[in-house]
Amino acid sequence: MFSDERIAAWINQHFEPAWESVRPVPRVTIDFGDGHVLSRTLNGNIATYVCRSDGAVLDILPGIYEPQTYLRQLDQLLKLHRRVGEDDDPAAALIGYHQRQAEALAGGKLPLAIAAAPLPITKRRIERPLKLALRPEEARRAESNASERTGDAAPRKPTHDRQPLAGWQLLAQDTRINQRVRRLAIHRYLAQQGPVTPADVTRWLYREVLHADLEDPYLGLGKTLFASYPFRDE
Amino acid sequence: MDTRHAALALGNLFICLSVGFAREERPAPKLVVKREKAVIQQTAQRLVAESGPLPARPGQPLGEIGVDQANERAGVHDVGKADIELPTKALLAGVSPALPNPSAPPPENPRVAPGKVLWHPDLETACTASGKSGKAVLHFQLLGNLDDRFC
Repeated sequence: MFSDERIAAWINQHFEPAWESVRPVPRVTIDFGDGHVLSRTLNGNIATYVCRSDGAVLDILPGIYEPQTYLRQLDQLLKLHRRVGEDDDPAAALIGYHQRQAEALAGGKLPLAIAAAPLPITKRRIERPLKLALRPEEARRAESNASERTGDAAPRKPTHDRQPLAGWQLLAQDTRINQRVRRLAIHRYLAQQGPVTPADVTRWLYREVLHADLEDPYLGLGKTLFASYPFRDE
Repeated sequence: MDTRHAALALGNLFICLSVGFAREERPAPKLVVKREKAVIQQTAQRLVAESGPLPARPGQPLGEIGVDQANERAGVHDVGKADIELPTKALLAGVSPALPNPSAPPPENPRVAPGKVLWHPDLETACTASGKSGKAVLHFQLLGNLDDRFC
């Protein structure tokens, strides 16, 4: 997703981004012999925090999302960043936000949309890259129109259009679980804790929400891995 | 050239190279050297398997036959020796071997660009930048490294 030019440009425009590895990812390697080796990652997981400049966590997007939902949620959190920044009591405003979101999700509703704060006159210009990133067909149309004007070749299709359908169904399912179940746990936790930094919440997040205990050398997979292994006691 | 003689020559070359590394006190590039040894061994084994073992002279064990002696017996007189030694010499000279090594495994997890996002080196730097720009901080956490192919 971060390799997509439109998404990367939008993130660069609106965020100060940084990435961090919380631990090495487990890898499964099968040596078929004769030089044929298959290597895949196992139980890899991610989390996206949106923070203020003092490092205080505004909200967390747990796990992997569909690109469109991911960007919509980031856009919502930009509005939250603006709202909390304008509030006289940012900590209380943040706790109130998490309480309302938790109540909505517990009641079976989708996460509440954050009302946009008043925007300057350049709103349309600022939002256009996001809209283009969210609606690739519109972006393609715009690029097509531009290329017709300039005589350029047709734009390349976004990479995800070529992905197998089954993969996207799984991703959509994971996105729904992230939004309805995992984020509910996060809202409840952050409503109780008040302002925290990523370092304060990382271990809890991976253990309780993403089910990948960073303190367990087997990341919580030990029971599954060794349950039927006959030599586990040796 | 008789493949049996070539196999023996390669095997002895391997032994000589090993002794050479053991004698020199400079730190040997162990992993790469291992790979080179493996290549030589595999090639020798393949040639032996194709043509059968080379009979030693009566009363002389195979291990005592030197490279030159083996070449003399094979009538090759160092033909191809330079080609065989080139990768090892290049390694010792600190340059990449000119010859491709088709049997070398690819790097286990090659480095790749971490997307097209302009990442700050760490959260602290991103927070400092956020204080100046007024933008929110996006902190992305993962198991593994974003600039690894498998992450």
